[in-house]
Amino acid sequence: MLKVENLSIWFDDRGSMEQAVKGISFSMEKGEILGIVGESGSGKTMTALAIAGILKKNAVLESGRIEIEEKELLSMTGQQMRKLQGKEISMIFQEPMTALNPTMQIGRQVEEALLLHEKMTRKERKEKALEALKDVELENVETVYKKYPHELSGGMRQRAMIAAAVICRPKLLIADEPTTALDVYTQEEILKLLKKLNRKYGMGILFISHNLRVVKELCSRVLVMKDGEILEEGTAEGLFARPKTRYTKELVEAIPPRQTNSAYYGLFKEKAGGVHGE
Amino acid sequence: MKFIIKKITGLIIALLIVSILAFLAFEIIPGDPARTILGTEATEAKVEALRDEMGLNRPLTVRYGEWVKNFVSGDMGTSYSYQIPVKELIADKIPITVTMTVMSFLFIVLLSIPLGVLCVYYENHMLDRIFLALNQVLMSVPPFFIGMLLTVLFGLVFHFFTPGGYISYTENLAGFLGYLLLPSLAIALPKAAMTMKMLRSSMLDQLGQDYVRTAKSRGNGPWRVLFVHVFKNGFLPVITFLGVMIADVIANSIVIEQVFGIPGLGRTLISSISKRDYPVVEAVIVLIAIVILVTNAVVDLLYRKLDKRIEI
Repeated sequence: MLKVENLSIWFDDRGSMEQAVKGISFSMEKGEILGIVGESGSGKTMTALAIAGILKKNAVLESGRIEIEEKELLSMTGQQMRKLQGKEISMIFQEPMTALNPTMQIGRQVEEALLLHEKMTRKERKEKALEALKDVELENVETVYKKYPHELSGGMRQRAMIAAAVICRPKLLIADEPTTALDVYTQEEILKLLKKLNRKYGMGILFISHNLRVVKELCSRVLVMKDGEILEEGTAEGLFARPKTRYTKELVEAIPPRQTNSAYYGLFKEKAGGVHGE
Repeated sequence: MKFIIKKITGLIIALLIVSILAFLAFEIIPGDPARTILGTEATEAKVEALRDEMGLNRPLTVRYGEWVKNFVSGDMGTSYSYQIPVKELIADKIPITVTMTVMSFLFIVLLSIPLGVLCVYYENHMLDRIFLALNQVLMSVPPFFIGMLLTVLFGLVFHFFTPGGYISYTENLAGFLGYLLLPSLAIALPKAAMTMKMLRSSMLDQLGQDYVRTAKSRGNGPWRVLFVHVFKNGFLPVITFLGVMIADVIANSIVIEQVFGIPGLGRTLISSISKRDYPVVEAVIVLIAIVILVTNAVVDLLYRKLDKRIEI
């Protein structure tokens, strides 16, 4: 479904050009969850932004092809690309507080993709938006629809972001560190939700993270990126059991043992569950 | 509701302070209304007798208290120099100044918003640079000078209007509005330049925000991003600025009325100050203060309505 070939991106860092992505190639099957892991500056976010067609002005695409369902994205005009954005390719981001428009009601943001891509009446759009909010397991959707981002918790905001991104049932959802800004408990919930949407709609997810534990939990296949190159590619299980490169091995070893995580998770749940008397 | 009560209380306190200051100002500055009326030839005894008659020899607090009591009941006193009630004197001047202020304000908004958005769209392109340079010039020229330039250009060169040939709104409304066009523009141009510059930088700032990236990822085109997403957020700080500017617009209208020979409140105010006509000055100052304070309260309310993050 998604095919990236020899993608090279440079960016202008106040006058000096630096290569962020160095001719990488990879592909994704329909409905697959592919993870990209790597440290900051590895080029993973640049790759994601290039696929979503929202690279900043200071980024220069040097070469390469990005194909989605046989359509080549990089040779498209802005107008052609906008027809796909939000409809076939969607993106969610790390910080749901700043990634949502602070002065626009949640509902309006959720249904915006419908306004841009589908011919629907206002009422139909609202119905769809309420449905989408229910789909991401939010409660009191009528109230949430009218809220502003600052009135929601971090987890609710990220759910609303997801609802907005998947409302047109895109073939590809790019998730750039969507759980990093959230607490461990909410992280788990969001991962579960993404898995559910992937299964329910057969929506491919390109999941970008520096957190290997999260990637292992969600993704079937993983790319390891460093300094703009793909170091290693493999199934999540294989990669964790038998890392081929030293870098991956170091990354895997850097994951805190599972036990520690679940212990922390358990503790948190207990707290969140409500220790009533102080 | 609580916000409104708070605002109104603040407004009343501010008005009291303004009126006290206006009263005190005339105690401090030299000059005596009785002397002004009688002329320099009059004897000291005659002046003193008139001061007594006018009630000027009573303590300041008594006079102030009486003035407040009358003002609240709608009586602004009698003009010393014209011997007619202040209300009558300024009643037909208010529409002139109000019209000019409103027109200036409309010019500011109608010029700065479209041009500001246009400059953001064409950031760093030729158009943007030209407007920025023009802005720099307009911002640094005072309104009265722009007024003089406009008078020379449109009055003496193009003969679009007769300088000094003010047309009253009771005679010919269209002529009146036409005559006020240039003075309003003179007041508005520097302010419009400032507003536009502020809107431009505020919107450019918003363009770098994460939510803009999200909007683009949904397939929003550049114009839609600007109008639907960025404009409202970028305009919020400008609203406060516009509110503050009302005071400036009124202050400038006082000067511009002199330049264009418009018999508005500003002219009345200046001539009354030189004649030490206290009741007129007091009334005009307090009226101007009321307008400024009320518009600022309205701006605050509007701001709160647009930005839900601010609790009322």
